[in-house]
Amino acid sequence: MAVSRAEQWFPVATATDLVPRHVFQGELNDVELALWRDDDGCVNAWENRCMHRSVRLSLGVNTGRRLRCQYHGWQYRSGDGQCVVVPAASQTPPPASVSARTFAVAEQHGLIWANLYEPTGTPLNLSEHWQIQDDSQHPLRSFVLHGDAASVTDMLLEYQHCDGQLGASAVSTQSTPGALSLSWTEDGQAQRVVFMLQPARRHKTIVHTLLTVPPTMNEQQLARWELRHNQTMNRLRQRLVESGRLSHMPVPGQEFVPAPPRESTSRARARMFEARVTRRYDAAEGIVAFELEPENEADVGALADFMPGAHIDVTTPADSVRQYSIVSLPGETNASGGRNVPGITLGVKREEDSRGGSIAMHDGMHAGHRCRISRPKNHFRIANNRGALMLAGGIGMTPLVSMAQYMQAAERNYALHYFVRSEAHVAFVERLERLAHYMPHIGLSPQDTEAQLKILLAALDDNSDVYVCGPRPFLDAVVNIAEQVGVSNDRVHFELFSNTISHANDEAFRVRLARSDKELEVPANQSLADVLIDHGCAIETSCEQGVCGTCMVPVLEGEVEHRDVYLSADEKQANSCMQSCVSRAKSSLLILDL
Amino acid sequence: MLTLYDYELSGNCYKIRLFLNILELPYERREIEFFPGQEHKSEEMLALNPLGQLPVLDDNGFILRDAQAILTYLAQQYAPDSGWYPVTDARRLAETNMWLAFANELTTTSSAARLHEVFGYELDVDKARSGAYELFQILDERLWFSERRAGGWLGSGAEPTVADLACFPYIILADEGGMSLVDFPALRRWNDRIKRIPGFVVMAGVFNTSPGCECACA
Amino acid sequence: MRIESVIWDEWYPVAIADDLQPGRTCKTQLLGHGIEYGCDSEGKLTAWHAGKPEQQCRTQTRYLTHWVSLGDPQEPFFEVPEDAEPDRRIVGSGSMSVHVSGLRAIENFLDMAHFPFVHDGYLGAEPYTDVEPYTVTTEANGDLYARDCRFFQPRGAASAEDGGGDMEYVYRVVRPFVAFLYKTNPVYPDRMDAIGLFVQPVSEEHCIAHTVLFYLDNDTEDHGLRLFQQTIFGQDLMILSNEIPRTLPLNPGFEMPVRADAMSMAYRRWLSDRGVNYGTYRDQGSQPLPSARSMSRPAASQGGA
Repeated sequence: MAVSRAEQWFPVATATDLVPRHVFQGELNDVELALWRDDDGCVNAWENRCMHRSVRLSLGVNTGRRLRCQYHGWQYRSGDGQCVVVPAASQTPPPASVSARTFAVAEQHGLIWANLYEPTGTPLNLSEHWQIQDDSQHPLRSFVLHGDAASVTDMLLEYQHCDGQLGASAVSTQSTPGALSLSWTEDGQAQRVVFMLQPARRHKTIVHTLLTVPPTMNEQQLARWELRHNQTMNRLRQRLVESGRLSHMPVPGQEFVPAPPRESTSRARARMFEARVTRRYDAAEGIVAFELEPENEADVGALADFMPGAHIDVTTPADSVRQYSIVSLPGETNASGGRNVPGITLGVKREEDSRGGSIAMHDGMHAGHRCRISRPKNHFRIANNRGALMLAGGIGMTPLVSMAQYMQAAERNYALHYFVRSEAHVAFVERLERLAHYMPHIGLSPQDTEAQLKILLAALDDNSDVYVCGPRPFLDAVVNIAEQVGVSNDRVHFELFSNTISHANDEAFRVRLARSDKELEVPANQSLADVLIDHGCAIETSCEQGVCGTCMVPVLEGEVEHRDVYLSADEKQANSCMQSCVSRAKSSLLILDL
Repeated sequence: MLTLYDYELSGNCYKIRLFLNILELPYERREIEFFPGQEHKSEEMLALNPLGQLPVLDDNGFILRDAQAILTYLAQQYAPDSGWYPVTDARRLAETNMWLAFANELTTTSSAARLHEVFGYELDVDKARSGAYELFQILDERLWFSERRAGGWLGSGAEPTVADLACFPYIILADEGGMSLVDFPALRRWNDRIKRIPGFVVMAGVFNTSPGCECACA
Repeated sequence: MRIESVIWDEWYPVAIADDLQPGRTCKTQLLGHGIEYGCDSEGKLTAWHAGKPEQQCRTQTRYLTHWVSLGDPQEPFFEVPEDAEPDRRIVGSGSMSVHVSGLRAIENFLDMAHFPFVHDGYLGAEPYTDVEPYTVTTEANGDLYARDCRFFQPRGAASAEDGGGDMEYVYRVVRPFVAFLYKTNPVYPDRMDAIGLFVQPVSEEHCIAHTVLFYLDNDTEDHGLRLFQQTIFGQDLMILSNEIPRTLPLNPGFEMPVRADAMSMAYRRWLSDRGVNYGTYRDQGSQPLPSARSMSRPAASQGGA
């Protein structure tokens, strides 16, 4: 029976191989793997290659929540493999497109299983397949045999003859693709070993062995079994090598084989996972707090690693996707969850005139409700080692409260100013009360707000930056006043859900697509590439920083403001093309040959 | 005063620097250009070591060659009660000596392959590599059982000995010799354990790892 | 495989002149071809195809280095103005083999961002990891330059034993396998030390890196300079041996650059524009790097939806 490749789960290590803070080097069907366990115990199976310069990740370091590449220190977080730190640009969040190539992974029968494709099936389950109880399996030492999986399966039938005690006993065998079971009776006891085969490379198969352990077996007997199996396998290997059926040594110069490409739909799907509302309460008038944690064991660490200021995407009960900032700190566990699993707290304001996301959240999300969410995304974060003047307008306080708590814990210089309509609208009071440098400004008129902002910004010390989040008029006021009082714009950081390149002084422009006769508006806070993709243009992006050249588009008319480092000065001068991920327009209209 | 005749890229020199650092012993470093300068074959060096090999240790006029001998000397002379060279326990002492001799085997195989691969030495590299792989297999097996039934070190004790340090360099540098440790997972875990010994230092081509789990959470 | 002319008809280093004993015959490989070479008592180099002394190769000795060509080099030999400055010391600092494409070795040489992680305590140290923007240009003669490069170094050179500081760098690529690095000299504020990395492409996946220093440094002995460079290269060696694939991918998207990689991206484009194939990674569906030229001909480009 043909097994579809999606169902092809293979063992890639034993569970005990993945010790804490270690990066295990593995192989599956010629693809090299970096396998590692985070401090929560979650296992990651990634292609063993940093996306930046293809250095083996197994040369790097498991820091507990992230894997750090040894070459340039890029850090990829556990779970989705998102790159969260690029030290060469420590103050800008890495583009969302940079992530390790992750594979589906599972832990079962004391083995780690991986699937290089978009999996639909599950790893071979012994209790379902052969009615063998799961909890009685003990992995013995795994062996590397330099032969292909099919011939190794045949060779394992000789295991019996290499075992000193088994001799000519009657052994019954059962087999299924990739697994073989031997059982017999010894001293009146039923015995069974199961071999699980890992096709590491074309000419290399790793034999994982599970011993069925009866409840009566003690530690000493188990230790004897470990030695016995080791001896048997050594004998078997020697016999096979001597008879020329197996190669003695690894085949030299093994070629690099890239991982199978990600299937297009898998990326989006992998980025969302199921979470549960463990508690819901009123944080203030019109603001509801939701405590969330991952629903499934496989996603336990999914909310553990983010930088204060992060947000997540939430699929609301109305089936729309909305972004909400996280108000809690990384690593917090929700008391309401009772599972001691890292979770997060969101604050959602009811917006009556919105498109319905917040209303659906308020009306439809109750304790115990399950929803699909993304892992934390960090477009907004503490940008550097300087101090922070944080200016929050209304519900814009949520990311700033997380940042302020972080700054306080790190004993760094900060102040949080919260501009809010009334006492009743002050949200998350219990968190605010623990902040040493918190100042509410309640019920100020727009004029008074501006006056207060002017005082604060004028008094800004040289060693601090400004962080602002709030409604658009509040944000504009801060940006304008900062400029008036001489605070340079690179010191003003705000949440605009765009990454990497500052859009602080960007202006909107229009593009006309000559071939498809369309005219589009590129708003100040969006890149040309994003707008083109949203309107169905087949533009590919990669680095999203104007370095790699992938998103180049041809320009027919209009003056381009080149912001990339890909094109040479002459090419920029020629004005015949542009990098749509970063570059914009000096003229109000660009005509593109699209 | 301790003086070490040393070459940065030599694994046998590195194990001495590593142990000196673990023992917190100050020393003077005399750098001898092994390649391409061949300074270890100079008249001055041959007077210190007629075998023309590095490292050589000079402890106030007491001249000692052979990396393994230097390790045992330093342990016994400067840290006799530390357990690095367990002279009072006959079995552990014998195990340590056994694995110290094993380290010499690594020099003639794994290190030889690296000499060929990096410095262009003309030698039978296939033989060197297959010899190294046989040794890696023996080490990996020992360490798999040690992880389960002992302290995860080459000897049977809960603590490492000079034998662990003696074998370490030409294991961790295997890649440079054109060999891979992918088939020896217990060996790769042992590398991490060595890197977590207090006082661990790197050499060119060896990198630090993260602190153990108890220090947790970045 | 036929090797393209831009690679075949070129000069390659086989040895640092000071390291080759007169009268001795050495074997090596160049572009996958076995060659033998040696020099006479005057230092004059001869080289021939392995086992066929009648098939002589072109040779010359320049910049303290013995060069061989298997083909018919058309371009004049590249210039190193520092070579003519009388107060410079020209020191060979060794030749080391690496199991990686020589193009990857050159790219690594052009990169600052790895200093704090690979050369920790020597050329960089955390938390000084940021790479400030720098300027990349191609000169009229085709040389590729990165200028205005700055990086904090705890110990940037053999002579800078105590304390670190911001070092200034200029990078220059003159041939696919030849690059120079110029760096601040603490004694002469208006001049720079130069390091030449001359890479011998042994095969597509193996290379030997020969390093020659053109130094103003007067305090440190040659011995110290050589050992310092060997340590630095020894640190790179492990990283370079762990790059998979070992060849250099030129198609965008296979590896992800950031802005600090402007020079390495420019190098990849520079190779791509010259039609360099040897030592590059060619996966299925691999495309050349997009160039502005292809964009300027609208008929050739594919429109969107």
